[in-house]
Amino acid sequence: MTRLARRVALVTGAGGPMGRAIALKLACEGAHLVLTDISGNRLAGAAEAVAEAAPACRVVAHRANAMDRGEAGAVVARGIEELGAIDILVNVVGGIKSASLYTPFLELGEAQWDSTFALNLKPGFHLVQLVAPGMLERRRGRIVNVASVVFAGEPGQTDYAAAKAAVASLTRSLAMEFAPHINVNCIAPGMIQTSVVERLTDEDRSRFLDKCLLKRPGMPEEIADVVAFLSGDESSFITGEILAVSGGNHPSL
Amino acid sequence: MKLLEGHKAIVTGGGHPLGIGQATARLFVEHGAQVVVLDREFMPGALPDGQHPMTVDVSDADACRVALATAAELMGGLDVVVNNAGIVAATRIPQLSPAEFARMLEVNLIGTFNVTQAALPFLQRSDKGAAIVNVGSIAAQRGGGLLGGSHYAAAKGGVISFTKATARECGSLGIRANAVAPGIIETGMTAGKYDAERTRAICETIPLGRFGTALDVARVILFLASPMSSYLTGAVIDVNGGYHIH
Repeated sequence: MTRLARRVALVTGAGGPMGRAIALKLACEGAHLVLTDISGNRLAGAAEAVAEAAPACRVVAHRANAMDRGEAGAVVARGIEELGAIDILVNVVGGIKSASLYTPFLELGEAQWDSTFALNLKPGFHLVQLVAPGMLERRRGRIVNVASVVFAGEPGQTDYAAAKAAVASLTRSLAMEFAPHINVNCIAPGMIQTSVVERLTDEDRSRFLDKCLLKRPGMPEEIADVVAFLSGDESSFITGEILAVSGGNHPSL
Repeated sequence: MKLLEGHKAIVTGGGHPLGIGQATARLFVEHGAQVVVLDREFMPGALPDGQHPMTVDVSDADACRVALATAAELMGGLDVVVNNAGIVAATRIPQLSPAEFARMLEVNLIGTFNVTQAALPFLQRSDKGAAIVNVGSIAAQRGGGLLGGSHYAAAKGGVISFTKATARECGSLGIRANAVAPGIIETGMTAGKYDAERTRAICETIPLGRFGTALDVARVILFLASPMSSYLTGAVIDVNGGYHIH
């Protein structure tokens, strides 16, 4: 369990089900962690779970709104101060904040448009700018972004799908800009068993499952496994890749 | 952490010591798997301990059926199939004979089908999460142009489409099917094909600045064969150092 020994990973959105599973997996693979989330309670819960599962893991948990440059900067500064350097950045924070998971485009308010883009892109913008210089200096680093299979287009989720397409595009551009020193990749999860799935109507849920070849939602742990793969040596020759983790529900199928 | 503890695997095209197939077989053994290696011929010293060789031409469907049944009996089941066996040639369209084109498809594409079809009855009974990993190529994505001609690009494009169709048909049977799409990899297949100057020129256009190694690809095949990728099916993972970001 030492695939990521001595490496330090920063995980945003670490208090949610996906971020928490990723934090646990990376810790179990030997990484030390800098965790952040907008909710102090959820963040503390994730940090406790890590401490229990991987007692040797050094954890810096720092609550922040990662959309804010100053707050994101404070997370990175504390991580570097306590753990030395950040080798792996996993941008998990994002999602759909509106009350309904589906909003027809013609009813979409400008405020929601702006807030969806801010939530899904700003944290990555800040954190990559804050963390990549150190990685480039050490000539080693991994960045894993989290998009979604809907980046290819999804009716009723125009804002979210467009924002995730931007995440995918950003991944490719950064892979080119930071080569050959930082591998930048992106996962595109399908329907994963998180709080979002619980908000789906039965109809939307079965529509999603119809398109999924494995006929089940994925578990956050199955996302975490892929993030561990993209953070470790097994993926050393992969960069600029968008990897669907969707049970076969993805745009090219 | 061993990723294939107790798994039973077949790797085709593992008879060359420098190839992706052999690197994959070695890595699988390191990760706790039993491995049967299929190839037309085995170069002396290609197979270390822990791998069982079986001489088969994957373009022969009957031979594949016998080999798969024998291998599954030998190992006590089957969980993983890696369709790696393949040939390459750069023949240009005006010079390509129908026979050469057909042979390219027979080995690379129909060979993948033959082994997959013969493996399905055994994979269905796997209790470890059955996985098929096919080896495509960057040639399928950019239309050949390196070491592979149009027939190679078409065959590998077929492998990628066949992978997706396998994923669609077999998902509900609990069998995952994914592919890797290697870029320029240093193997017996590519050895000596690029001189120093051309190598330098190409590497300047690869974001990671180098050709890949057989192990680079084998590690991604390991991931796709293992439960670490349990929610991936129908995916094609580029292993090309960013050479073709599309």
